[in-house]
Parts: sequence; structure tokens; C-alpha cells
Amino acid sequence: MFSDRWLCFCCPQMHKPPRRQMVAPIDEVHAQSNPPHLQISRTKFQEKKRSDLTLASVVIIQKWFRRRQALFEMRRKAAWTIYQHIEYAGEQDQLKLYNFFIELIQTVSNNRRDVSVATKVLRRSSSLSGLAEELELEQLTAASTISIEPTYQGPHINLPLTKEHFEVLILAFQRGELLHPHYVLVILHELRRLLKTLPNVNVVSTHLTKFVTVVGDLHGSLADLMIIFHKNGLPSNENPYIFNGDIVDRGFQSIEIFILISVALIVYPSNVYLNRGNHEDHVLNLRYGFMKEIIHKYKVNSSRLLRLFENIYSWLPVASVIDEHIFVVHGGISNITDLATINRIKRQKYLSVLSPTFIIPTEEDQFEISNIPNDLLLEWRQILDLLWSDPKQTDGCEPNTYRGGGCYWGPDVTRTILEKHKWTLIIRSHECKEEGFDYTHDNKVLTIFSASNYYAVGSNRGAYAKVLTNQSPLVVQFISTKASQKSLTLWERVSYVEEQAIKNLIEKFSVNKSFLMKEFLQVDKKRTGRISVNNWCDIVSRVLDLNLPWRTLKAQLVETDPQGWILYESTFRFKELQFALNVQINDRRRSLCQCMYRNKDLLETVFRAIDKDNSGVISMQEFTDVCTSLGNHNGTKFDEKQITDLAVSIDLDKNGVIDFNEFLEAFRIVDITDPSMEQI
Amino acid sequence: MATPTDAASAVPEQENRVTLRDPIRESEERANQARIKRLTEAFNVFDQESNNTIPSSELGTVVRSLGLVPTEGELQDILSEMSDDSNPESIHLERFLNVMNTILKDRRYQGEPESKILRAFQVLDTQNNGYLSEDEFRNYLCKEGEPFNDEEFQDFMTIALDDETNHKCTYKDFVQHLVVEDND
Repeated sequence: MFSDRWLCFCCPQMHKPPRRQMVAPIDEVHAQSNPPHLQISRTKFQEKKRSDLTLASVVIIQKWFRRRQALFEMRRKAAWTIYQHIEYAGEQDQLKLYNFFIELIQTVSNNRRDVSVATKVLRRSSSLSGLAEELELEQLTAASTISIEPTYQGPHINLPLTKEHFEVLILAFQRGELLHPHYVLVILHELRRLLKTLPNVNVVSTHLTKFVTVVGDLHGSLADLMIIFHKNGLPSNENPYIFNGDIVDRGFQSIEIFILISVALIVYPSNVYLNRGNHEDHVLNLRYGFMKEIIHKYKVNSSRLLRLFENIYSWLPVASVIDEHIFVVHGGISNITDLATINRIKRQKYLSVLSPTFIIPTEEDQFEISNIPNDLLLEWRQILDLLWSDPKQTDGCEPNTYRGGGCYWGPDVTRTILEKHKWTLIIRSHECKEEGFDYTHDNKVLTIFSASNYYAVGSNRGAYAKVLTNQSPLVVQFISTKASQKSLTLWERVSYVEEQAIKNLIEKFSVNKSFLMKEFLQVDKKRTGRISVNNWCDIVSRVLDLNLPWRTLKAQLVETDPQGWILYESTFRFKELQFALNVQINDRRRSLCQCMYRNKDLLETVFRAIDKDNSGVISMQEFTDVCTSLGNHNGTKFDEKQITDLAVSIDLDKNGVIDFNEFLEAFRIVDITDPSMEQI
Repeated sequence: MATPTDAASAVPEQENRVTLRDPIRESEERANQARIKRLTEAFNVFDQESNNTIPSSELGTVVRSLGLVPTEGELQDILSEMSDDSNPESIHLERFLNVMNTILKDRRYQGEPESKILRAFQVLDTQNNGYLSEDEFRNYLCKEGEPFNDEEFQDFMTIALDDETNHKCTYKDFVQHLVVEDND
């Protein structure tokens, strides 16, 4: 009676097709014969029964274990999804904002205020062009404009730069020292001088060195760069490197890494190559941390540095080709990618790839409908696609709406473009991968990502690729860990990464509290305090505009009652948004504060963009204008009177200006359970 | 319970007759909707491209993450029911929902109660020691039934080592780890 059913005690009797892939130690002879108890002796029958039972037990344990692993895998994937969604939502937001502003100034708009904000934000740093602009830049950012005070203790450098300078800087940065802004300008100007001599696409050959190392996104992580140099050796004429973009933003040591890579390029100009990434763009630096880092580290000199960076980005080559058959680019390709066309572009036009200068007016209040010629638009698209695209699994090429720029390109596009140019492989970065690398499109596209622990400690490895002459690339993985960390079990690793992601979500809940409660109460008219799982998931998904696996996550986010209904007030049991400036917070203000915190990143971006001299203050009028204008952008209703009131009360000195850094930092997400503990 | 005079629930038909709400059918419908939502969500986590397909290789993880406990062989059955011969590498959402909805409704592959899992360990513990050594585990789990590969066996043993019993493992605790729920 066991023979048909011993593998599955729970399934109803039904006809099943024969099983494949079974490893069963049942004696073949017995399996084919008539029911065993008719044929064999009692002891043999007992033996067989025993071995059936053993087998059944083994399978039970195996299948339950696999279920457990699957649950962990699901949770890990869900946590990953959270991080990615939030990251890309931010990028998308940024692009939407800029598109919004650009549209504003392109069309004749009735809303003077919005237009005024837009032009201020998008106004080019220089109203000059050509040679005049060049001279102006050199004048404003010359190293001679900053003198070195005698008290400076950090490293000193001078031209010509040498290997020794490089090593001195590495040691200094590892010790946490800051390079004097005078020297930073010296290095940056020297870099710029060299970059201007480079073509749009680097031509790299492994003929002499036999290999070249490709490094992916670093995003300000000095630790990861040090690991790479440690494992793979410092750059030199025998050890060439290609840095594939996204050196800055997000991490806290972007300038240090940029300086090191610049010095490497200056010392070994034939063997260190740089590709521009989408974050080598001042518009993104506004929001993603590089600008903040410079301002924090270099204070009064930050404007000069930022202005020079803005220009240097535009001189970075946009791609590299190794041995004429491997294409290395930060984002990827699209159906229109064409090397000849790319080589003809004057890349320095694209200070920002997101909002190139030809669509920005040179003077304030100048807004006319400009007719951008088609070939200029196509040219822009070439560059945008190179820096922003992502591969997809299905054929075709479509706009990358997830990011807001570039394309999704499919395996057919890879085949076409590879064939057109006689390439065999595309190496790109731009996307964080759990293992630090990922092959796709039939192994014709390799993603390399070099910032380990990108989302949270333990979230992912980093990797770099050694490209050897006429061989497949060798991928080396690594992960940067603090010495004190012991190696974690699978359960612990998943737990930690998940924890950070969940914290993120809980923050979002508290920031959106008024919207969420409104919707909850609409469903729960009888005020029972509970709603169904379906309703909770729908509402949360809609209000936060995050398409996440809420059912899988809900166990860690809310409480449920024994019948399985969700006690929705527990959505906010952990965190509360508090506004720590000395202003009275009544209920109306509370909802305004939530509104502002939700848009904190946008506000910050725009404040910084307007604050051209990086003084950290903007006028009250500008503050009010920005808040109201952003309301028009994304449909949040900032009440103008409320904002003005808030602005007035924040301006404690009553001098008509608002320190927006102070304002932004005044928002804190606080742990409700322990009011004395503050977390940002 | 609805009453026939409840205007919102009445569906007037051509001849001015009114159809009654059927609370049983409605609650079945609601349960059905909930199942579909749950299935779609689990599916979407692995739908990298947002094009309503997942790679066939991920089916096991998806099905098990829903709390079901099929064997590898049973998974093959499920896969063959929903895979598309023209594109065997991936599974489409529609087919997935059809097959899985029935499976959930019929409450198949629910797995056995803890006591049976405990008994499974006891069967293997031929000496009646109360625990099994790593070698014993290896002999059973990597060689019989639906064998573990090296990686699976490693992870399996870390459960034992989590309990710090030095290469032995009292399987009572083991069972607790194996039946870990979503909420843990």
C-alpha cells in the first residue's frame, strides 16, 4: 500500500504522470513485480518496508529544508527589491523634476513664479561661451586663488606628479586627511588639460601589457578601491586600469577617490582610462551627495571646486574599446548606438547629460519655444543611452522608464550592435548586482559593479574584471568587511540586510502618516482599528507609490490580530517624524512638515541648485517660491500661506534669509519607543 | 447578510426581477481574489523584467515561499503543468496563476505536521541516540531520496552548528528550524 504513495503523504489520490529524476534505492526487481506481499517472504517484506520508510523520511527532511531555504531567498529578494525601488524612484524623481523645469521654460507658461524657479535652477553657471567661457573658468578656478596657510598639515604635491605623490596621497586618505583645496585645483586642472586631448572613445590595447583591469561603480567607497588596489596592484604602466564611471555620489569619500584616479591618470596617461558615468553630472551631484560632501569638506572653496568638476565631467570620454573588440561603457547601448556618430560629437557640450546647455537659456527670464534640430536630439540620445541604459531579457529597445533616462535594450540589439562594430563583448556597470557581476544576453554583456555593501552591510559583493588578450575576462569578487565582523550564517546575513530595508520602509510610513491614515479610515468606517490584508497592501502600495511584495513584508511592518486582520495603527508604532527647529508645531504644521519631509530630496536639490554661490542660504521669497513650485510639479499641495508662516518662524535672525541646511537637518525621524534616541 | 431590498446589492434584470446576493459565492470570490493577489505578488518578486514571466528555474523558490512543501519530483509535475513547450525556459503569469490557484484551493502540498517530521528524524536515528552525526546526515541526505548538493548540505549543517552542539544535533530543535514560518 505504500508503493505508490510513500513519497507524498498529503496529496489526494490522483493519477499522476510518471516521475522523472527519482533516485530511489528500491530493488529494481521488486519494483516491477506484483504487489510485494504476494511474492516475497515476511522478513524481506519488513526489510523493504523499513527501507521505504527510511527513504520517505529522508525525502521529508529534504523537502522541508528546501522550503526553508526558499523562504529566506524570498525575503532576501524582497529586501533587494525594496532597495532597488527606492533607489530608482529617487532617480526617476530627479529626472521628472528636470523634465518638468525644462518644459516650463520651453513653453510659454503663465505661471511666472514657476518659470522663475526653473530658470534659476537651470541657469547655466556661465553666461559666456567659447573662448570667453574658458577664460572665465580658468580665472575663477585657478589654484592661485587659494593660498596655503602655514598651519596646513596635510600632504603637499607639486607638478609634475609622480608615483610617489600617488602613494603619499593613498596613505593620507587612508588616515582620513583632507587634501588642501589649492592642490585639488592643481590636480583637477592638470586632469582637465589631459582629458581635453583624449578622444570621445578611449582606444585601449593589451598588446604590451597582456591585460587590462576594468573597475565598475565605486560611488565614493574608498574601502573598496583600496581592496582592489591591494588585490590587483596599483595602477602603473604594467598594470593598466579602466574606471567605468560613477566614481562619485552616495559614498562619503568621493573626492578622495576622484583625486586618486585623477593622479593615476596624470602619472600614467597611456595606461589609466576613465569613462563617464551618469553620476559624473552636476545635476545628480546636487541630490546624491557629492555636492554635499564637497561643501562639507571644503566650505568656502566648494564653489570653485564644484564649478571645475562641472566642466571636467564634460571632458570625460564616454566609452572605451579594448583591442577593437570589447566595448566598455558605463550604462549600455541602444538600437541607435553607432561608434562613428559618437566619435563626431563634441562631448564638451554636455556639461550635464540630463539637461544639456542647448536647452537652457543663457539669461534669466528668457523663455522661447526653441526648435531643437532632430540631429541634435539624436546626438543627445546617443550619449544619454550610453550612460543610462540597462539590459533586459526580451528582445527590443524601449525607453527606460524605471530610471527615467536611457533605454532598456534586448539581446537582439546586443547582437546587432556587436555585429555592426565587430565587437565580441560589452562590459558595463550602472546596476548593483548581488555577486558584484552578472553575465547576460548569452554572455555577451558583462555587468561589473565594484561598490560592495552598496545598500547595506552584507547586501552585495563587489567585483572587477581582468581582461586578458584574446581570453574571456577573469572576474574577481570581494567584499569589504570590518575586522570585527565574524562571518555570518545565512539567516543572520538575510536578517541584517532586510532590517535596513525595513527601517527604510517604516520611515516612509511615518512620513506619509496623514495620507495613509486618511485612506485607512475611509475603509474602516466603523473605526474597528482593523482592515483586511488586501486593503492594507493596496493602500500602502498606492500612497507610497512603491510596488513591493507587501504581503511578504507585512509580517515585519504591522501587527495582525488572531483572525488575520491588520491593525493598521501599528503601521506607525515605531517611528515618528519630528521637526526640531524652535518652531511651534500645531496639527496643520505637522502635516506640512510631513509633506516637506516626503519631498526633502527634491527640496534639497532645488535649494542647492538655486544657491549658486553655495552659501547655504536662500531668501525667504526663494524658499516660498521653491516650495510652492514643487507643489505644482508633483501635485502636493503646499499651502502658500502656511509655507510663508513657516518661513518666517524659521528665520530666527529675522534677516530675510533661510539657512536651508539647518532647515533640512531639522527633520528627524525619531524612534517613538525611545524618545531620547534620534536617527536621521 | 444581504436582504433583497438592499438597493446596492440588487441587480435588476430585464424582466424587473432582482437577483439575490449569494454570500457563499461572494466569500469564495473574495478568497479567490486574495489567493490571486498573493500568488501574483510572489511571482512578481522574481519577475525581473516586469514582463509577466519568471525563469523556470525559480519556480521551486516561488512555490515554496508560498508555504507549500512539494518534493523535487512534485515540483517537476507542477512545472510540466504550467510550462509552455514553445518557451520552456520561462513561465507565464497566467499559466502560473491557473495551476497554482487550484493547488492552493485544493490545499495540496501542505506538508505534514511537526510530529511527522520529528518521526522522520527518529526513523533515521537507528541507534536511538537522540541526535545524528554529520556523517550520518551526509549519508542519508546527500546520497538518498532527492540528494542535497554540497551547498545545500553546508547550509543544512549550519542549522546544526547554530545550536552549538558540536557536530551532533538534537533533532527536536532541528524540527523547529525547519518549520520556520514567514513571521519568524
